Order: sequence, then structure tokens, then C-alpha cells
Amino acid sequence: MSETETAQDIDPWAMERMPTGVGGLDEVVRGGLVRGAIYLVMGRPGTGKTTIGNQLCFAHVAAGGRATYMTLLAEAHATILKNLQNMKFFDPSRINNGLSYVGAYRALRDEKLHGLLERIRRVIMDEKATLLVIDGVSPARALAESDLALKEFVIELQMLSVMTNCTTVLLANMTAEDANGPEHTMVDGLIELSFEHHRRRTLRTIQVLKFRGTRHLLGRHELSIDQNGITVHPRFEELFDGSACPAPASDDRVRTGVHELDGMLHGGFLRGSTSVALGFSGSGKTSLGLHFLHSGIVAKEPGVLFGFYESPERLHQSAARMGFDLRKAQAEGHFSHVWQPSYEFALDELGTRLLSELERTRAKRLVIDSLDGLRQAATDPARTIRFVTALLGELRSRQITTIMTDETLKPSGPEMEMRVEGISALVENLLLLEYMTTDSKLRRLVSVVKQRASSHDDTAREFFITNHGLQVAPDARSAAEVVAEAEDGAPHNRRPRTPDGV
Amino acid sequence: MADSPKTVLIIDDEFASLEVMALLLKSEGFAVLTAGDGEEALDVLEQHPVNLVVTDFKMPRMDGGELCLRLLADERFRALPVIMASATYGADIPKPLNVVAFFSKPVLFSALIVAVRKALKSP
Repeated sequence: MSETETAQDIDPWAMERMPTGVGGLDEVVRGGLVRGAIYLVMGRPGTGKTTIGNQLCFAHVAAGGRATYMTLLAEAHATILKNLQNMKFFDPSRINNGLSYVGAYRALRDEKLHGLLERIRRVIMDEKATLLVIDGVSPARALAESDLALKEFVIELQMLSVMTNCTTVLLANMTAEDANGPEHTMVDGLIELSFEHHRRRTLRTIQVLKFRGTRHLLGRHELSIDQNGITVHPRFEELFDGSACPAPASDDRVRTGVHELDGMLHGGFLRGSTSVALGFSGSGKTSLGLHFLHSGIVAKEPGVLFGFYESPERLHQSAARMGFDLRKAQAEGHFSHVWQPSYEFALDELGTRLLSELERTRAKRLVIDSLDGLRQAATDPARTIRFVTALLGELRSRQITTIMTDETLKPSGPEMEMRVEGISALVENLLLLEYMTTDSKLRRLVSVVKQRASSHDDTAREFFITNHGLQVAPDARSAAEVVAEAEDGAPHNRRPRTPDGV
Repeated sequence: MADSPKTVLIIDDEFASLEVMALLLKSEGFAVLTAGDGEEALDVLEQHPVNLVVTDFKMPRMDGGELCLRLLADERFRALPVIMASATYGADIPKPLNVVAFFSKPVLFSALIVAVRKALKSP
């Protein structure tokens, strides 16, 4: 036998992946696009097809590949580039230096699909492209001699992509409802960009309908477009399995910074545990959070306050009144305040923001003020509990000790309830902050309703909001007086046995 | 006067593979003939001079293995080099003597063209 070779640059079945450069998308498709595969990205005008197509190209070139952005009947190249100029991924030095923009409509119009295929072949070979984005494939459909011819074209394009190891992305102005043509059945991946309307709020979403060779994350995921280009926010509960995360393993205690409260907790919260501080408006929840974070600052444990209501200025003023210099702590990297109105971001985007800030600051402590902000961000109320379950599990696995505040509908009494059903079962610790009026005077009580895996003081204590923050009474005597007086008074002052059925 | 282009006969029962390989080899300056299986390939060889055969292994009627044996048995085609590719068989399948290179499908064109040029001893 003569010399026989088994020449192949790479093993095509190894499913070599190509990072997309689109934040969060690689998590959804579990690793990036497959080299040499062909994808169809579809969506109505304005959903972000052109942005994602260009972002893929710039990211690919930045990673050392060569990309071509081919238009059929689409925006002029100059218009596309002008609209990209504010995007961080846009790097004009890459244009004609690894990234080329070419038109192919004339080849399609004059020589139909054979002419287009030859044009694509020529571009891939001449430009040595390893990524090809074809913007506006609808004309190819319109000018196809028949459905069969279109199918042949797509199969040939797929084979061309495989044989040249050039990943191809088709951008089409259509929705999943229109997805019944040969281009949809033949491609290796099908991605839809769309809008979701919730009352007056509109969310951008992405859905991977098909992705050969991987178990991608199903369903719709939120998507944002800003100066970073497109960022995908995978559904939290798909990424993080909250139920799989262990309870705090060590007996290491994290002090709240309120001396007597730490005593009630028999030393503080267990490290990595999660707590809810439950109380009516003005009951001292945010103050407790500030104590907790300040205690971390003193202990050199960086902390993050993830808030929805107190602006940074107001928060700094509140902290300053308690004697806490948060500006200094922030400048030294021991404290960070992430503040956003709850209506501005969708739920998963908030999750992404929170985790990235925790990573950036290497935080050990977290205060979420409040759960209501997350609840308002959720377009589907039923998702809040699933999201929080996943989030808390992830926080536990990162050993981040967390307090979430949550507002009750009443200041005290048996009708007190948590707004997110089931939250109390998810957290290790539950603190109740309530207030009652006795003799026209507002009196506050704090109690540790539960502390999982630890003993704790199960009596209520009176506490005071002073110029130095929260001060808890050293024993339960005054609290007992408050309760006794309250029970003689208005029925709504009667203390509950357990909030949320705990 | 320039040399006439070398002729490559591509044999594959898969439409897209045949069409795209022909498109790519033509773009590299080769004359290309095509056939859908071994029997059809023998007919083409009877009618046209061919310098190289690129064939799929698994095909209806006459597969690539049998085609190779038929070429070896015929004095006119014994020296004709063959490049074989298969989606279902690995490189360890027994290969007739006239097979000079073997590829697992899908074939990367950058690798194929090297083998084609080497088989034809063209630059």
C-alpha cells in the first residue's frame, strides 16, 4: 500500500467552541458557538440582531479570529458602524484588519442562490474568515427559485461552513412563529430575540430554541443593551441550584454589630447563613443592616449593601448619624453600595449585578434592602421565590453572610406576614422587629424567631433607635412590660406567635 | 501556454458534500467531475481522463472500498491516486493500496487541499 495519511487539522467532532463575547450568552449555550456550525438569529426590528451580529464579530477578532459581516438588503455599512460607535466593543482599528464588511446583494439578485453561495465561498476564502455574519437573509428567501432551492442553499452553506471551519450566523427579521422554513430546520442553532410586554414595562429577551450538540438553558432569558453591547442575563434558577447548597458548615460567628443582639444570637449569625430582618416601615431594618456592615468594616470583612430605596447620599447621612463613615470605608474598599430603583432592572439582571459586585469587592457580608425591591423587579410574581432560593443558595456556597430586610404589612400583631410566601423557610435566621404603642409612646421590640443549627435567646427585647444606632435592652424585662401593656390595649398590638407560620 | 488544470473526480452520495467540495476545488483551479456512487464513477472514468479521485466510503450500489478495488484491478486506473473520506468509519478501516489519504467527515477543506496537492504533486 502506498503512503496513507489521516490528515485533519482538528477533530471536527470535538465540538470546538468559540466564545461569543456576548455576556451571559455562553452560559445559556453552555460554552459558546460551535466552530464551523451555522446559526440563525431572528427577531423583529429593534430587538438587537445587528448589535449582536457585530458584537460577535468584534469579539471574535479581538480573540484572534477573522470575521466578515456580510449584508444583503440591510442597513448601509456606514450606518451600522455609526450606530456602533458608542459601544465598548467597537474598535475601529479592527475594521479591514481582521474584520471586513462586504455586500452580497448584487450576487444574489443577478445569479440567485448559486451566485450568493459562490460570493460567500469567495469571501470566506479571500478573507480567511473564521466567523461570517450574514445580515438580512430574507432576500435570499424571496429570491429563491423554490423552497427546494432554498433548502439546497442552506445545506450547501452548512457544508461550506463545516468544510472551511467558518462559523456562520444568519440574521433574519422574523419570529419563532414564522420559523417553519428550510433555514430553520437545517441550521445547527436557532436563537430568537424578542420583546416581552408586562403592563407598561417592556423587557428584551433571548431564547435559544435549538442548539445542536449541547444542553442549552431552555426558556426566555432577559437581555439588556447598553454601552457594553448586548448582555444576556440567564435565569438565575437555571444557573444556580439553590437546593444543592449546603447549610453553613462551621460554627464561626459573624457579629451583627449590635452587642445585645449578638448575645441573643449566642455570638452572632453562623458564617454563610442567611437571615431575614422582618419589620414594618421605620422599625429599624436598614439601621440593623448598617450595623452589620459596619461591624464587617471593623473586622476587615468587606460588605455590600444592595439597595433599592435609600440613595447613596441619604444612606451616607443615615450612617453618619450613627457614627459610621461609609465614604471612608468605600474609598478603602471595605464597603460598597449598589443602589438602583427596583423598576429599572429586571430580576436576573439584578442577580448578575449583585454577584458581579460581590466578586469585585470580595465581600463577606451582604445586606439586601429589601426583598420588596426584588419582588417589584419580577415580572412574574411566582418567580420571586425561585429566584431568591437560587440566590441564597449561591450566597451560602460563597460563604457570604447575608441579611435581607423585608417589610411587614402591619407594625405588629397576628396579621403580620411576609410578602413573599415561603421565604422564612429558606433562611436560617429570622429576626422580628416590631413596634407597639403604649400610653401614646412608640416602643420597639426585637426577637430572634429562629436561628437554625444554633441555640438562641427566645425572649423579646426592647430596643431603641438612638444617635448611635440601635441599642437593645440587656434583658427581657422591659419587653415583657411592653407586651403586657400592649395586650391590654388595642387588639392589633397583640404579638404574633410566629410570622409566616414559622 | 499554461498547463491544463488537473482533473479531480469527486464521488459522494451526499448532495451538499459533493456540491461544496466541487465548488471549493474549482476555486483552487482544478477541473472537477462528479459522481453519486462507485458505479457512476466508473462510467465517468471511461469517458474522461482523471488525475485524482476523492471518494466517500459508504455509498449505495458501489461503495468507495469496492471502487478502489475495481480501479486497482484495471490496468488503466491502477496508478490513479484516491483520497477517501467517511462519516461512519475511522482511519483504522482497511484501505486499498491506491488510497493515499483518508479523512473523517466532515472534511476540513484546508486539510483536504493539502492532500489533493500532494497526491497530484502540484504546488
